[in-house]
Amino acid sequence: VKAPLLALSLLAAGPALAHKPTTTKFTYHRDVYPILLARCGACHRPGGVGPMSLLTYKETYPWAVSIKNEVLALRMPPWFADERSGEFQHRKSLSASEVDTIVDWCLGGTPEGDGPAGPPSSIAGISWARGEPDLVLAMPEAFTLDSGTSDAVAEVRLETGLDEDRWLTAIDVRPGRPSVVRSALVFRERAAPENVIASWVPDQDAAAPAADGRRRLRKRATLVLRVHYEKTWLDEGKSVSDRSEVGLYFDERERGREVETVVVESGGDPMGAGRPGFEATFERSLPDRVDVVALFPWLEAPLTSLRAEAVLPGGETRELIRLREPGPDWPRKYVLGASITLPAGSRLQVTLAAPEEEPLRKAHALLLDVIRD
Amino acid sequence: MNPVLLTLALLLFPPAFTGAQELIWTCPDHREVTEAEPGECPICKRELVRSRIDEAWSCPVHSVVVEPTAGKCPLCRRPLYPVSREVAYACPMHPEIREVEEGSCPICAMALVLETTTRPHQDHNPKRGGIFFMAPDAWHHLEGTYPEPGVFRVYFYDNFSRPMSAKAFRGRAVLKEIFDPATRTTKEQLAYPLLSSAGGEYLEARVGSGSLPREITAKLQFEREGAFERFDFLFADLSRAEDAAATATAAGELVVPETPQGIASAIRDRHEIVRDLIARGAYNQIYVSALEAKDLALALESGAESAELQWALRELVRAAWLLDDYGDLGNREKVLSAYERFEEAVKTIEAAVGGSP
Repeated sequence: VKAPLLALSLLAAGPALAHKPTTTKFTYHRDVYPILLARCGACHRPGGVGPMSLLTYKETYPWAVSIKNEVLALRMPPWFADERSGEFQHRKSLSASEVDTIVDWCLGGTPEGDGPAGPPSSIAGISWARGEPDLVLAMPEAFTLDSGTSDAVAEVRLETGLDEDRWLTAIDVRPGRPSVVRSALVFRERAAPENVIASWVPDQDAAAPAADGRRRLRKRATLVLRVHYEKTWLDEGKSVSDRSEVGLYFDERERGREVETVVVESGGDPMGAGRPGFEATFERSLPDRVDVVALFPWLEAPLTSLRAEAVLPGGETRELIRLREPGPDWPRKYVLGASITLPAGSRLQVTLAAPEEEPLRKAHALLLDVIRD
Repeated sequence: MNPVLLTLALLLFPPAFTGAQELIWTCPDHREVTEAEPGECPICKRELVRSRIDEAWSCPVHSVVVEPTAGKCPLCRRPLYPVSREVAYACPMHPEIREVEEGSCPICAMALVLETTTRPHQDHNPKRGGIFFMAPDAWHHLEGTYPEPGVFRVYFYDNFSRPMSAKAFRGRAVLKEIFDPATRTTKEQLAYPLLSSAGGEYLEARVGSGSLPREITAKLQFEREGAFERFDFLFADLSRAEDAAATATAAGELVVPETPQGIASAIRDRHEIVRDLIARGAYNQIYVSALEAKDLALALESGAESAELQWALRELVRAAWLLDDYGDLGNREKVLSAYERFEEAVKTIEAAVGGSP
């Protein structure tokens, strides 16, 4: 009697406590799964960095309460940019109806509907998002998180061995063990904000800063790969190794526009008003006319907000980005939907606000990918 | 969750019975109806059917974990909370056959198999003309009343609105607090103990005379080692038991206007109702209008082109669900934080679409 009883109770234990006299019209397979696949599936897949896959009904419904809470708090999917501050490529945040569908389903009894029981075969492995790179640089040896370590940062030097200067259209990272690789940064020569040439998070598309943009890599250049590892509870207590790779895509075109990085750092004396210790504004002026194509917040502690504006020579202010509750997790590059042209003499102003528990002490910066006119 | 873990969880925590199964009568359409005697459903007049209720403990996040006794979730270590489950013997071939005793199917003679279903709890209507809230554990419920000047009472119910003895609970009625921005803590300046009535029917505090409306915050402890949870009551009038039925809330059919301007106006109307309910402290009634505003906002989504409007629609949906959640809990600070978002979203929608005069 025990086995069928167990199986039946599995099916029956599903519905969460329905609370209002409404039941959801949404089902997992028809309405919820497509959203989970598009918005959450890069991490919440078998072997992914999320501690549970959300790509099958059986694995999803026990998390209904958790999913509802994360979605309503805007913690998941992680996306710090305020949608009002402009259009960004590869936006991960949910739309009104996506939020509603998920929450309604989570609260309304989590019905399954008709559909396949297993995960789709198309999500099997992690491959290079832009196809095979022209040059793959692997970590010289595997990095191991022993059984007692739950997070770590590894920094390794990668020799390109290039015998001439090259232009790069894109730089990608492929994790060796996706379940522990939370994020990665690629630097030129030395790990410092001004040397960042690529950032990577699991749900990001391979960064192409602008259609005709490219970065210069000097011959015999050395890259530094910094990987942030974190175990989920599935890997807790295990010894886990990773050997990630950096993929370089070369530009063979005669001409292109060079992408450079402008850094606005919190290093110097803060200017402007604001509550000492909790709010600060930093600025930097631009000697040349540039097109801003992407923004990368370099944060070393959680903030309540970050706002970047450009004050044009005429005094007019142009908002570049606004982040709500950004933090060091999910170091994502925000690629602008359309580039913003700033005339020479514009001043970049970055305003930070810190939470009550943790005043501004650490260094923060905003990195702008720009193309000089 | 890892499928292996899920299977493991089920092997470790098969549905066990506490032996405290209770035979009740319920309505096939209104499972919240729980009667001790046969009869008809007070809502739809259908004939009640027999049902068995079994009490168990489940995790607030992993509903797959169901244990016969209290403890911690083996997957995430959260404390388990009590749930009620309906226990039935069902025919695998004939879903209409659900019996309260073991046996065989009267149609096909197959052996009936045991099924358990977590029962919904839906009844948040006050029983004594007071204000009804749910505790954060989603199981305990309470009703605050102000039956005569200077008297504040709290009645307790389980998740099927069955009365519980108040003797197991502790608490105090707080009338005055000050917030210290330097330490970001709240200090109570005037509080009265909530003491059990002799029969354990309710907790009562004598809160001194004062003119209506009266604002009283109950801080209640449900488990011996648990935190004191906060419930904010606002009594506009004395509570009268005969008002109980009249204050029951229910959602009607939502009519979506045809033009965006009409929809924006309808959202504004709902916003005004929500604002008034909050001002009156009727937090547990907010959900009807908040969720209607949400459904109206969703009707605007396909035509929303500006980033501003898309943001506002998403915020309104989010805030409406949060108001629903926090309204049940009776926590004013949380209700107000969700309302702030709701109001900003409504104003942004109005500015983007323009309401009809």
